[in-house]
Parts: sequence; structure tokens; C-alpha cells
Amino acid sequence: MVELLARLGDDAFWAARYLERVENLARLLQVNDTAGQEAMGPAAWSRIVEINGDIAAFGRHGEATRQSVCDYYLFDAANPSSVVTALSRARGSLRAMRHLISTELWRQVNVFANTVRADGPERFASDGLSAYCDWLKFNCQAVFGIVDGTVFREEAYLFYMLGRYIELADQTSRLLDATLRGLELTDLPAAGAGAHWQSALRSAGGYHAFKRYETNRLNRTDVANFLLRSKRFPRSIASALDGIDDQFDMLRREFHLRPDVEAMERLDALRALVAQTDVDSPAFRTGLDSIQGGLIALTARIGRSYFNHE
Amino acid sequence: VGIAPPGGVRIHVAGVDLVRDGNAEWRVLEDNCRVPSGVSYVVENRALMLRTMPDVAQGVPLRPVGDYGQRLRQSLAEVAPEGVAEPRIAVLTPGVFNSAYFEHVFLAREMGAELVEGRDLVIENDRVFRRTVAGLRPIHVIYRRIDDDFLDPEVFRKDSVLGVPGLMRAWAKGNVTIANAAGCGIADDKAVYAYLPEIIRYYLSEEPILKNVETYSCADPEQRAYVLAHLEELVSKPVDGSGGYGVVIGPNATEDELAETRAAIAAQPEKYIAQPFLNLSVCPTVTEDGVRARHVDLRPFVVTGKTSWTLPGGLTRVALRKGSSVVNSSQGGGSKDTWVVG
Repeated sequence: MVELLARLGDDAFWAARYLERVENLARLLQVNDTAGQEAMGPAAWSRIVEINGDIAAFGRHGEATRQSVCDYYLFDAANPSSVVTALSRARGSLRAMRHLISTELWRQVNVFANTVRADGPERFASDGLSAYCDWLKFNCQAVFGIVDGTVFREEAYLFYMLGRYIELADQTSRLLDATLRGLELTDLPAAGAGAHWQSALRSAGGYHAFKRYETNRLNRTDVANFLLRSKRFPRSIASALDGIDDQFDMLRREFHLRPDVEAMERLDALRALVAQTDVDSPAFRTGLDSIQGGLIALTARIGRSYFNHE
Repeated sequence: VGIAPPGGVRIHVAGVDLVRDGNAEWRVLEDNCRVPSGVSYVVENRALMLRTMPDVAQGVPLRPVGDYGQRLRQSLAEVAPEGVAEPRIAVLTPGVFNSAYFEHVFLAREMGAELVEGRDLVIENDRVFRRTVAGLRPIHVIYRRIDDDFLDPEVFRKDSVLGVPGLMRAWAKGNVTIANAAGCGIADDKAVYAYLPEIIRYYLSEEPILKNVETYSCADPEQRAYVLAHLEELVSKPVDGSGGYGVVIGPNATEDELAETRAAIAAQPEKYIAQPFLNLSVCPTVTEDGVRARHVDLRPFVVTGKTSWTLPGGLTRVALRKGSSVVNSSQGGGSKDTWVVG
């Protein structure tokens, strides 16, 4: 049995997080442009800055408009949360693992990252936001597909999946947070909130599933519950936490790589939080903050358990 | 000095540069025994050639080069420290920013070896360990692609962050095989070539099978005088150079360049050698102006474990600039797929 270098486990974990981040950003921006603007007009764009906690950092870019926000989150290499930065880091991490991954996978990530850096703004200007985000999503999905279809299921793969699930849980919680914030900003009566919730579902890619299986009411209770708890929906927070649990299980069973006790406690606490949170309560946003904090703490414990972090 | 490495081998991988001179005679231009590179291009060129022009090799008894990695692995395992049932091999790389990183990845993958950086390794009880997700695990053989100077801050350059503190301690105790062993760079020193035929006769009691390119050492007063008098006919080189840097080709040099070189030789004669200007053999090469003749050299690779094995092929390097004899890739040289048949 060949044990993975700690540094490369870290790289696999973060490559996955950065790629997942890119796909989620693409979804968010794309939906914000249509359903988001429909729901709340130009305020839709400042909301994006808020979700990412970037009010201070964005400050010197002036007003939050479609152009300025898209530039910042797609192409600003100085923005640690931008697509171009995330892709550059994912590429760097995978390059460090180059001898462990297939040429197919490397080529996809390398060309993707280089293309965004080389001609992103031009392509964005000529294709438009929606088509460009489609292109970003497509390329992310190609990476995920290649990994899913071809990567050998050993430690590096499990750390990669851990990274994806943690990022997914984080992104969905931010999406919920942003939707609630958007509603606060627009100050609508409950009846008018439907457009916001539709926007949230579309960002997560869950709109059609929701409409088929739920009560078909675009309201806070049903949509928030869906995004938080639906075990059948792969991008819900509960599904992501299940995924994290599965990876820990396999690391332990197949590779005798047990996460430390605190990591398991953190995961248990997160699941309890998700199970008990009342989406209708005014404290729901605080609950989402706790989920994000819990994920950060869990990430730190994973680093200590496996990646030699202090 | 004075320490016997595991298996008695110091030069596990050697790259020997060969040329054909104006008389179609093969000569050894220089040895590369420190960290010879280029074998990845040999294998990749072949793979690419076979993929894009498979019909060219049909019916030709072409000796394969694709098993280089396995052979190297086997050889290194043969000279692992005594008593280790399953030696763990690692390729030690300076990291992703090194210009030869591609080759380090290639080697690790083809050998089925770990690819590690200095920071992944730690010495405990004079043994080498790597940091894994499951804790520390041993390493028995290191194929290092880092220069001697940077290998161990305890012993060599103290400011090196690329190496592993204590690595030479582990090596001295026989707990790890380092390929190629530290200090092999002396064989790369071009001044040695002035004395190589004598060295062969003295140590092996044999005549050299292949001649080397005649080499004049400027450290010797008589040879220096000859060099200074005939500089415009000769090729002068710094003894510790690599990558083709510092080479002055007399027939192509300007008066100023020649004057500069004379001054440099006068100032530090022991740092220079000179060789006759060879009209190197040429090979048809695709250039911007169509297919043209360009100068080439050949670097076969020799791997030594319990025995020595030569890769049936090699790296043919070609000087892409018209009239140039500088084939080094760092100076814009190219390479060609090289066939050994039969």
C-alpha cells in the first residue's frame, strides 16, 4: 500500500474545493443576472459581494454593478475569491500531483485555467455573462466527470471528495444566506418573495426537482428546507454532510486513516445543527453562520489529522 | 571520500555526450554524471513519433526505449541499503518551478516512485522518512535531481531550502542510497578530459575504446600558450559550465569576444579548457526554410545497479539555429527521436 504524501493530500483536498468554488460562482452570477435582477434589481449585485464577505475588499472598486462585480469575481487576479484565482490554485495543486493523475485530467484543468487567464475578459465581453458562465460550468463538470470516470479510488480521491463536499456545503449555506439577505434588502411582503426563492433554487440547479417533488410553493419554509435537508438533492447541505461522513468512513475502513476525535465531533455537531435548525426562525441566518464556522473548524481538524498541519 | 555507498555504485545514471567529427569518427564530447537530464524527451519523442507516424516504424526491428523507467527502478532497487526487502524509492525534485520538472514527474511515474520535495522528507535516527497522511514512512533510495550544493543544509549550502537537513548523515551510515552520489560532479568537470585517456590507461589498463575530443587544459602552461595562440580556431569553455553557457566558438567569434576570452583565461587559467572546433555531423531538420542540415550530438544513457545497462536509443540534440553547434535545450536546441535497430 502506497501512502500518500501529506502535502499531496492537502493539494487534492484544495484542488477540489477551488474547482467546486468556480462552478458555484458561475451558477450564482448567472442566475443573479436573470432571476436575481428580476427579484431585486441592481441590489442583486451588491448582494453577491456580501455573501462572499467582501464588502471591505470590494470597496475601492466603486459601485456594485453587473460589470464591476463580474470583473471582480471572474477575472480579478488580486481577488482571492475570483474564478481566475481559484483556477490558478487548482491548477497549481494538480500540477504538484501531476505524476498521480491522468494526462486527460491534467489537460482539461490546464487548458481551462490557461484559457480563462488568457482571454477571459474578451470572451466574456463577446459571449455575454450567461454564455460565459455556461462555459465555466461545462469545463468544471468536465473535470468532475473525468475524475468520477477514471480516477483510481485511493486516498487522494477520498481527500478530493472531502474537499468537494465541504465546499458544496459552504456554498449552499452562503446561497441561503444571500437569499435571506436579499429579502431583507428589498423589504417585500412574503407573497413577493417567490422570485427570490426561485432564484436560489436555480442557482443550486434544484428548481425542477423541487417543483416535481415538493408542494410547489416557492416560499422560505419549503425552499430553505429543501436546500438544507433534502437527502435526494445532491447539493443540499445535508447531502454534503452525508458525503463527508462517507469519505471519513472509507478513509478509516479502507486505509486505516482515522480522522481525529475532534473532527468527528465537529461533523456530528454540524449534522445536529442541520437537523435542528428552524428555517422560519429569525435566528436562521445565525444558524447558517454557525454552519459556515463549523465547516471552517472541520477543515482545520482535517488538516491536523492528515496533512501535518499544526 | 572514504565512504562506500550501498552496492558500491556512485553513478547510477550517466549521460554521455557523443559527437562525430569531420572524419566521421565518434568521439566523447563530455560526461554528465551529476544530474544528467533529457531521458524523458527520449521516451516522449518516441511515443509521439509512434503515435503520429506509426507506419514509419512498420517492419523495422526498432529497439524499445519505453521500459527505461522499469529498468531504472530495478537497478536502483539492486543497490538499495542491505537488508531491505522492499526498497522504497523517491525522486527528489526542487519543485514545480524547476525547468526540468516535467522530467521529474516523468521519472516518478515511469518508475512507480514517489515524487518528493525536500520538505516532505525528514531524518530521524539517521534514517530517511517521508511525511504521509498516515504519518512517517521510510525511504530507502533517493534519485535526486537537486545539485550537490543544495542537497543538505547541514553539510553543504546552509541557506538551501530545497534539501533535507541530515541527508548526508543517513547516507554515510548506509541507510539510504543516493543516486547519483554526491561529488560525482567532478567527472563533469571539463578539465578532466585533458587527462582522461591517461586515467583510463592507469586505472583500467586499457586503451580507450572511444576517443574523447582532444582537450587542452589552460591550467597547464604549455597547453595554455597553445590555446591563447590558436584561440580563433578553438572552442573554449569554462570547466564547470553547463547548458552551453560561456562557450566561445573561435571561428564564429568577433575580435572583441576573443579578446575578452583571452583576458578571462589569463586571469583564471585553471577555469578554462579548449577543444578543437569540430565540424559536427549534421542531420536533416525541419526549419523555417524547409528541410535543412543542422548539427547534432547524441547523448545515450547508462544505468548502473548490479550491472550496467545502456538505453538502446538516446537523446539526439540538434542546434536549431543555422550554422550553430550549440545544441543545449536551454539555448534553444531541439531534440529528435533516435532509433537503434536490430
